[in-house]
Amino acid sequence: MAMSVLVVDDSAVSRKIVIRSLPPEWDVAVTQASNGSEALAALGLKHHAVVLLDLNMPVMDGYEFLEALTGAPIGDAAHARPIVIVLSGDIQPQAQARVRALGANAFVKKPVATTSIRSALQECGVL
Amino acid sequence: MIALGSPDRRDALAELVNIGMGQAGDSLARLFDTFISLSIPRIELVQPRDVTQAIAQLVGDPGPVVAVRQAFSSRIRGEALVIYAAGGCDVLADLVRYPDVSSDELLLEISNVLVGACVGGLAAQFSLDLSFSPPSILGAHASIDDLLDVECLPWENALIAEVNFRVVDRAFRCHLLTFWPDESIAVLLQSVDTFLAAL
Repeated sequence: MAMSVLVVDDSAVSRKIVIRSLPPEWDVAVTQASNGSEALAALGLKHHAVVLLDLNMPVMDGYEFLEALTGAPIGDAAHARPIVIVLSGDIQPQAQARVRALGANAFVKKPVATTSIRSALQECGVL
Repeated sequence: MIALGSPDRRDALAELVNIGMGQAGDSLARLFDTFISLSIPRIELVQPRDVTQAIAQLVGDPGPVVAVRQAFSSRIRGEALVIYAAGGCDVLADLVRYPDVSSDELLLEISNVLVGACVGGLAAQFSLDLSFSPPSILGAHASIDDLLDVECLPWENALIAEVNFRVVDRAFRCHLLTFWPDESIAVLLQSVDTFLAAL
């Protein structure tokens, strides 16, 4: 069965790049959200196994999303917290440390490539 | 008058600028040894008579500013302006901890790092090798209105990309504005279209 994946980025072009860069062997059903708030709403409606998260977004950024995810159980409590992989152009070591501290499972630098996304998925035990 | 056309073009440009900005932020973070908060890139297409107002809107009202200008060229040319609130410059020396460097030298050095990483990073995504002029201080303790002499802008349209960098706990902020004139906009948009077509 296809794994449910939520792609969160304010840039439609960037979401398209991410979706095009997913490893072809990974069977997924993709949902999209354009900021953290929309992503929380999407998680409330449906469980997603993996969230691919941009950091720099209006309304609710990636840091705030990670905090909200830690704070309260979302949606169906029977499901585990989704695996969150951050995809960001902000490549500061401190940005990576901060998202890791907030519970992100992996970090991929933008521009993304299939190889870098695949490595992150393997790191998280998804692939 | 030219237009950006499809929303995808603006979106793609913003994303490419975002990646350049990330590299610039990383360089600044290493220089300051602290975390740099990055903005969401903004893209505006303006005519010369509106450029001062556009800058004021993008930068807000920081009071007196110091600006550093740097030109770049290759198949595309343009100018970058790094705008610092005059008050924020005082914390610079403290952030960088180079005791023997004048604040002007610091501003030029920081601007050079930001422009090189951000504009160079953007151009690299289009496989363009840019050459940069040495940075120069355009306005010291000037008001935003004094930064550009609108009468001297030799172009019909300019594409402005704005990003800003903040050190939250030190009240430091600077804006990086990149101006691309007419024929460079065409080259830039052509590159963006090629990029979009490959998706």
